[in-house]
Amino acid sequence: MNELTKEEVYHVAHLARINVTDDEVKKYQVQLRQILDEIERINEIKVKTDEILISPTDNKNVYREDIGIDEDVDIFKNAPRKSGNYIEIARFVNE
Amino acid sequence: MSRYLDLSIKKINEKLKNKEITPLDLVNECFDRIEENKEYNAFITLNKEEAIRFAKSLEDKEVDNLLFGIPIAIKDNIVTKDLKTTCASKMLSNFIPIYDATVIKKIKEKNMIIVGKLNMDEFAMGSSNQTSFYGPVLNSKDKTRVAGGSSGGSATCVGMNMAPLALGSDTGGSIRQPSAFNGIVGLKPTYGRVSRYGLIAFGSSLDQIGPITRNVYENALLLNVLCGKDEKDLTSVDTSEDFTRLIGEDISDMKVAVPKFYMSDVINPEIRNKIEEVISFIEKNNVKVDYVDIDYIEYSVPLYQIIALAEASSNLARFDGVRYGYVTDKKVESIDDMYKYTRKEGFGDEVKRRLMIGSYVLSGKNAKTYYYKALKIRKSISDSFDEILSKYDLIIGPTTTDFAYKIGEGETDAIKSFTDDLLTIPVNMAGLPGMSIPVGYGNNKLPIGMQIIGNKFDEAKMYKFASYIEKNFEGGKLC
Repeated sequence: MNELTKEEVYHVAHLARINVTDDEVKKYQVQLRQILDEIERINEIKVKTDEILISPTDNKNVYREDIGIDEDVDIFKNAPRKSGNYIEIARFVNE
Repeated sequence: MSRYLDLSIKKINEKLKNKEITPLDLVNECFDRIEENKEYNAFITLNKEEAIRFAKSLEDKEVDNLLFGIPIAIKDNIVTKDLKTTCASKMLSNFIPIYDATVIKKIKEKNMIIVGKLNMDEFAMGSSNQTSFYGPVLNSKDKTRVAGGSSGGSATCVGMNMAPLALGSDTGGSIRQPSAFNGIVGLKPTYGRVSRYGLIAFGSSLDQIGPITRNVYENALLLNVLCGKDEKDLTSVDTSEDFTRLIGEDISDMKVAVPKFYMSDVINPEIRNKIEEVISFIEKNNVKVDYVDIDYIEYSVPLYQIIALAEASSNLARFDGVRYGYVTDKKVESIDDMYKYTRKEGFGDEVKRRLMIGSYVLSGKNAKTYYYKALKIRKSISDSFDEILSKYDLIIGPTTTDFAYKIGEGETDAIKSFTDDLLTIPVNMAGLPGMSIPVGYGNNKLPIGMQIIGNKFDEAKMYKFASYIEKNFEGGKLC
C-alpha cells in the first residue's frame, strides 16, 4: 500500500486535536500506513452475523435521581489555571 | 535487612498475629528492597511517609484478615487520593487525584498498605514499558530485556519481590504478557468482575483491573478483595465468592481445549514445546485435551487496533489542558490550537499514533467500513468462544508468541506493540477471564508463561487448574 498523503495525515491529526510539524507528517505517513495495512485485513473477512458486540456485559443502563454525591471534593485541585470559583483559560474571543 | 517478604502471605500473617513482626517491619523491608532495586525503574512515585504512618497506626489493631498489613503496589493508571497518578505521561505528571478508585477503597478497608505507584506504558498503550514518559522498566529475570507491558512496573515489582502484590490493568494483554515475561502469576478477570471506577480509561469495553502476584493462591486471595458490584461502574456485577475454595482439588476429568492457532508456526518453538509438555502432563493426570479451531482469532490484532483505539480516541479527548493535566505554554490564537499544542506536547509518540488511528476509524464513512465491521467480528469471536467453552472447562495455550526481548528492540516499529498481544487480545474481545502462570524457562533462562482462559465468572476453576500445575508440573513455580 502507498503511504498516506500529507493531507490525510493533517486531517487525522486535526480530528485527534494533535499539532504536527511537516517533519512529523513524513514519519506518520509511513507509520499510520503500517497500522492501517493491518486494519485493512478485516476486509478479507466474511462474517456470518449481522449482530454486533459493543461491550461484553448484559447489564442494562441504570438511571438515578440527579442528586450530587461526593460533593465535598475539590474539583479545582488539578486545574492548570484557576481564578476564584472559575477555571481559567486564555481569551480567544475578540473584544 | 530482614527477609520476611520472602515468606508466603499466610506465614507473614501468622507472624503478624503472634506479634513476632509488625506491619512497619514489612513496610520498612519493602522500601529497602525498592531502594536496592532502583535501577529497575519499577516505581514512578513512592508513598513512603504515608505508608509508614499507616503501618504504625495498624500496630494496635486486630489482625483480622490474611492481607492485613501486607504491602501492595499500584499501577499508575489507578487513581489514589492525594497520591500522584501520572499514567506514565507528561500529560498527568502533576496530577493529584481527589478520590480513590473503588479497588483502592477496598484495599484500604482490608488495611493493606499502599507503598507506591508503578511504572507502565504511557496511558497503558504499549507492550514493553518503553513508551513510559519515565523510561523503561527492566525485566526482573534479565535486566537487559523489557519487562513487558503495559503493566511492566507491576510485573517487575512482583518478579523481584519488591512488594509481594501488585495491581495491573489489562486491555489487550497488559497484565498477562508482562506476567509471562517475568515468571509470575497475573489474572485479567471477567469483564465486570472488578469495578473500573477510578481506572483511567483506555478502551472501556476491554479494560479490567486485576491482581499480579508471586503465586496462584495469593492471586486468588487478592481477587477476593477486588471483586464485586459497584454503583459507580454500571458494568460491574455482583459476584462475590471465595476464589481460593477449589485450590488443592484434583483436576482429573476436566476437559481442556487448545486452539490450533495458539500452537502454530508464529509461536517460538521452544515455547510451543513447553506448552506441549504441560499438555502431556495433564493428559497423564486424566484431563481430556482436544485441539480446536476458534474462528477469527487470527484477526485479533486489527480488531484491537480498531476497537481499542476508537474507544481510546474518545476517552482521551478529555485531556484538553483545561480541567486538569498539562497545558501548553505557547501563545496560541485559537482554542483549537490550545488543544492541539497541549496534546502535542503532553502525549508521547505511541499515544499520538493511536489517537490518530482511533479518530480515523470513527470518522465519516470509515465508522461503517472499520468500526461496525469490527464489532461484527467481535460478536463472532465471542460466539466461537462460547461454543468451545460450552464443551470444555478451560482453554489453554501460550501467553506470548516469544520471550522477553532486548530493551530498544522494536521501538521504532509501529506494529510490534500490537502483535506482542496476538494471543491475549481475543480474551478481552469476548470479556472472558484469562491468566498467565509460569511453566518453566527457555534455554535462554527466560520464563515461559502459559495462558489459561475460562468461561465468564469461572475464575475459581481457573485457579484450581493453575494451582495444580504450579504444584505438580516441574517448572510450575519460578518465583
